[in-house]
Amino acid sequence: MTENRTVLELDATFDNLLPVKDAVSAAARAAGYPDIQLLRIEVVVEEAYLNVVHHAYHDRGGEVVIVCELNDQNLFQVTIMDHADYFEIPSVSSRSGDDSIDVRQPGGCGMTLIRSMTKSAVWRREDDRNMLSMVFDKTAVPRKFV
Amino acid sequence: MELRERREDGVLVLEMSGKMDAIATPDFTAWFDSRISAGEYRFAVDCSGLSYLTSAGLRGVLTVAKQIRAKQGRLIFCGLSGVVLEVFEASGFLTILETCPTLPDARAAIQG
Repeated sequence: MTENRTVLELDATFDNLLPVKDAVSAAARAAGYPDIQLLRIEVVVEEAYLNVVHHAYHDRGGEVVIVCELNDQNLFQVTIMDHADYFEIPSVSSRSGDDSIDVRQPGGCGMTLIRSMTKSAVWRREDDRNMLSMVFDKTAVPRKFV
Repeated sequence: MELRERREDGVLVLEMSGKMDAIATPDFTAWFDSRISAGEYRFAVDCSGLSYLTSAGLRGVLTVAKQIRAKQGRLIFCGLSGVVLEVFEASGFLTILETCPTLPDARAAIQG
């Protein structure tokens, strides 16, 4: 991370998922984020990145730019930008979680996880790009089974 | 992600470790496919070594849970903590799946 900023420009493919998660995690670690938060950041980045791969670009690939930086509150922020058609990721509904196993269908939890593990997740359309900016707290209390 | 299996008192125990993401989840579903095809329907899944699971992992878990339910089997997840527990909770999986704090609890529930 140069001057607290890492920029990744790559093709939005499933094969790039692991390099993306590794690079973002390394940037968060360099920013002083603890291991437990690196795990949450990896979960959120997988959800957001695969939304671009599968839903914005429909698995046909396309340019994606990922910027990792500290925001003005000194919190780690990841912004994912793509040039696909208008695709408002936060408009995807979250699961209510009260379905039974018989009626619950696989899928649809990605946005729920993004919302629950970020301090904020803001989508905007700018310069013909979809931009999703996600901010992470530096600490969060680990959960134990209760 | 690593998957280790062992049999304890008639219950097939799957011990998971690492990260259950979109890359690793097919290994999880393939493992269950092969065991269910072999006639196994009672499973305890120990998640105490798991770092996290993503929505791809949740899809795999739900798919497997539905398969086992269709066979009138039992599937209990145990050892949930940290980010794994958060993901189960946020997604509502804590209310639709059977969970226990520890592996002995899960084993006892299945044998019950």
